[in-house]
Amino acid sequence: MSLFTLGIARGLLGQVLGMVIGMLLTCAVRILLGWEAWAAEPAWTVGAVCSIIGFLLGVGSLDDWLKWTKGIPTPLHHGPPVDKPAWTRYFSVDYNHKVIGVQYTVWGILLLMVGGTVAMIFRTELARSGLQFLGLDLYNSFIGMHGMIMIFAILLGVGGMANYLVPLMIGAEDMAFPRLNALGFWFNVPGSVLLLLSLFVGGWDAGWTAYPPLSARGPIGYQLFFLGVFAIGLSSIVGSLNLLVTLLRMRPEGMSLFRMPIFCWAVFATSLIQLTATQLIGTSFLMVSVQRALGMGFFDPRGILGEVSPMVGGGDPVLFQHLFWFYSHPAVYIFVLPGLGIVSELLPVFSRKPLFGYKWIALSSMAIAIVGFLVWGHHMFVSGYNDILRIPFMYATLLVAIPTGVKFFSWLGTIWGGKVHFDTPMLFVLGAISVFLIGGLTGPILATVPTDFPLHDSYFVVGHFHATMFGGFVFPFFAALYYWFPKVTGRMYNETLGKIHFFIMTPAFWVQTLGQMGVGVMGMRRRIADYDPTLGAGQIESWQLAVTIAGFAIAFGVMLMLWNFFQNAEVGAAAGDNPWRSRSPEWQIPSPVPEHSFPAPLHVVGEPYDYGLADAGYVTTASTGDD
Amino acid sequence: MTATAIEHGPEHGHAADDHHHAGESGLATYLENTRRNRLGMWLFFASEAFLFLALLVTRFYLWRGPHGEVVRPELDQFAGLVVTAVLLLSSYFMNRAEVSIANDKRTDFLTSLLITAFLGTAFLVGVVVWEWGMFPGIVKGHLKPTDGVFGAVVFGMTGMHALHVLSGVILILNVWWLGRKGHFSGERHWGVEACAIYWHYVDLVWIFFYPAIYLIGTTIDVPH
Amino acid sequence: MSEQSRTKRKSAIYREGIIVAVILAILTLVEYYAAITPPFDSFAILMILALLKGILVVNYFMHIRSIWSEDEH
Repeated sequence: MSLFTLGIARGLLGQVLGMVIGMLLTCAVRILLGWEAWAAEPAWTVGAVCSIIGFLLGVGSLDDWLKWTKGIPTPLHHGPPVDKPAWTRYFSVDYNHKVIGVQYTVWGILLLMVGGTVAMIFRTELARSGLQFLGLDLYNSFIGMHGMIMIFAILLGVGGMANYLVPLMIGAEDMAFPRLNALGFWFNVPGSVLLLLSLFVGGWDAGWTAYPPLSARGPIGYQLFFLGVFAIGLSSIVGSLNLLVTLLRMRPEGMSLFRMPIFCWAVFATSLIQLTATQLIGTSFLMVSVQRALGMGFFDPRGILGEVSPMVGGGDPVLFQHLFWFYSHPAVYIFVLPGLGIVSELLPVFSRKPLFGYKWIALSSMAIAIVGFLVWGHHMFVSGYNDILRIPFMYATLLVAIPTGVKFFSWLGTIWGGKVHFDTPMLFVLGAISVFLIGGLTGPILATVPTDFPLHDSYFVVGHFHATMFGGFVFPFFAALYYWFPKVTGRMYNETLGKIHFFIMTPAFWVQTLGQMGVGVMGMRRRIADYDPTLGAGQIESWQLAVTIAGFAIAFGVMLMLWNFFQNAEVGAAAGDNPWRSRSPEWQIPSPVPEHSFPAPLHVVGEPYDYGLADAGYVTTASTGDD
Repeated sequence: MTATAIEHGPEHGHAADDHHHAGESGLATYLENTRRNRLGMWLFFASEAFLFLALLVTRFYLWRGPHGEVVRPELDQFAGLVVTAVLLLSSYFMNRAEVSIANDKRTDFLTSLLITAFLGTAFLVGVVVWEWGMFPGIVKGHLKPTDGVFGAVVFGMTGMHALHVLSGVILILNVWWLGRKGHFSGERHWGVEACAIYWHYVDLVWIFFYPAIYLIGTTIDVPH
Repeated sequence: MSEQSRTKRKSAIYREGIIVAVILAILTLVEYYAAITPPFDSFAILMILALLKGILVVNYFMHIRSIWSEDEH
């Protein structure tokens, strides 16, 4: 078996070839126009575009569509590849949502490790004042890289959970568009490659937000960064489209919207944001890209009328911020809503009680999604936009606290008086609630204009943001990994190691986030490589050291978890079909889930979360009668 | 974001489709799949709408005169009107093609498709040669992409729209070629419908772009 | 479409397309002349005209109702 049996190897080869072809094409066109043959930026840009196409052609994700254009029928192949070992399906194009879900999750964890490593590098640099081993440009590239890689990782993690779980939770055979589903995953690979490659062509040193004018003048790395984000964005759009159609058209008989497992509601709200808002980050980055490539001055303030009025005909960098944050603020709800859905999903299982206020939780997700579209301006309080815009954006932002509060009180109501089982997934859910509370309570401080002014662009923002991301995504994601690990592999992880992971990571994270907020209040600004050791009455260095040590502890915890999974995926104790005694449809079928998940269509006969109530069924299949 | 490559391509009219529920008849599965495809297509439109809305917002944000009034550059009004009429006419023929295949009138269907593709190409030529002045030997354009925000927005909006027109023409020609080979029928023609609503969507975008670029605001002289 | 064609006469469907196209053409001309006739060249009027055209296209050419109607395909 050669290496190129694996789709991903063919894809990467295709990506290299595409890059070379794109560069040669650029040179050819330039020679035809009578210009100098080689120009680095156009060559890399066109090369990068071609490299994405090259990857998709190489991996074989476009094969079926190319056949459609010729009118050739393409029956969907079920099961592992016939002439290759079964495990190769995870490295090639496969249309089964369970395989794609695992692909998403594993690729997401890989990126999480890359992004974490980058963070460890610059955290080590920050442990002491003065520059130890990182240059200024590299430091700047690294902080941006940490941000963007983590965003990719989170989007992949969200995609993994949604792809694996949604069809199982609603008893569907697969996603509505299996081919689009595979394409959605494979966009991520060339996207990540381009993002990492950008470090080698100058990097991009204005942070992950890529504000012009800096990004319009920075190194070539920006073009690769933009295209990498483009690829991930396309993945988001097609993935969310697929999930929405699946949720709207493939639910079984009797499963009204308010009888779906609550995670599906979270995915529904998330997908609505992803489908629409993602276009805006693409548009804003495309505009910077063409400004660099073709001189189209969207964000270039130099006017064209010169003496008459220097502003007429001039671009405006603030417009970029509007377009950019119209995606990038709702994006944080893309990151946290699925995580909060996981919390709501797991709490009733481990409390053995009905979910408190199901409808309120479901609708609060929708409310957060909708209000999330109206609050982008709170990132721009000091941008110099029209003063009167600040007040509505401030109030709209504070409004987000209401649906979020609804979720918190519903969670408390669910735990209240329950028979709580403290297994590892439940511990992570409780950790998520505690951490998200820290992030949530520091939110209004930053949403309020007068308190945002002194804290803007400080490490306080970094602390707040990491608390929302860990509480909203990382902790629930880890809970989900522990919780569904038995479903995916059929094996049980090591409970002791899981608990050790939790008890290392949670206090470490509290130290990290509160430490970051602390140094922020002392006057530490975000995105600078060095700081004044006399800040905070000379205390700042010890605080920074504490944050760094906490960061390493978190990294150790994550390694422990991965080792735990790696050890037990093949040889762990058999988990049984339903180790958590869950009512959700995916636990009523064997572990690991067979190729065709459900032997017969589901029938929904009750409410999803009636834990502890006698004779309250949720789903039945025709073959098993009742359960 | 240019997601033009993502539409669900034309489906083979006669071939057996993926059976999600083996017990159902072929046509029922086809209809259910078509309903899913249609919803997917409309969600794709909703997504793309945000791209075009962002461009419209950019236009009204950036095209401001010295006193903040809405302005526009002097463009060839005749060219604008002609390409708009051409695109509108193409939309009519696309509709005619769809109605024809639904009634199993293949010749009419194929002719209408070809006319649509021709008119779409004419629109592209009109924009690229006439408005952009890509070939200064034939027509000299009014603006260059580098003419401040006026050049940037005109070329940004018409360029993004032209990309969609181009992909639409390719799609139409593909459907025409498949139709000539005997694909699609009155009962099964999701491929044609997808192509048709995509083409109408491209027309719909132009319905809003045309007044935004050519009609709204007072004209301002753009020095080169 | 075929469901519709059974109930509606074919020529009526063709005629519907022509009527919509003619209305769209008229609205485009109205737009064009409104833009050069000062009191009518406002943002609001031109956008309302565009919106009218858009509704016609979405309703008659794109059959938006077919998303949620079950019998029509």
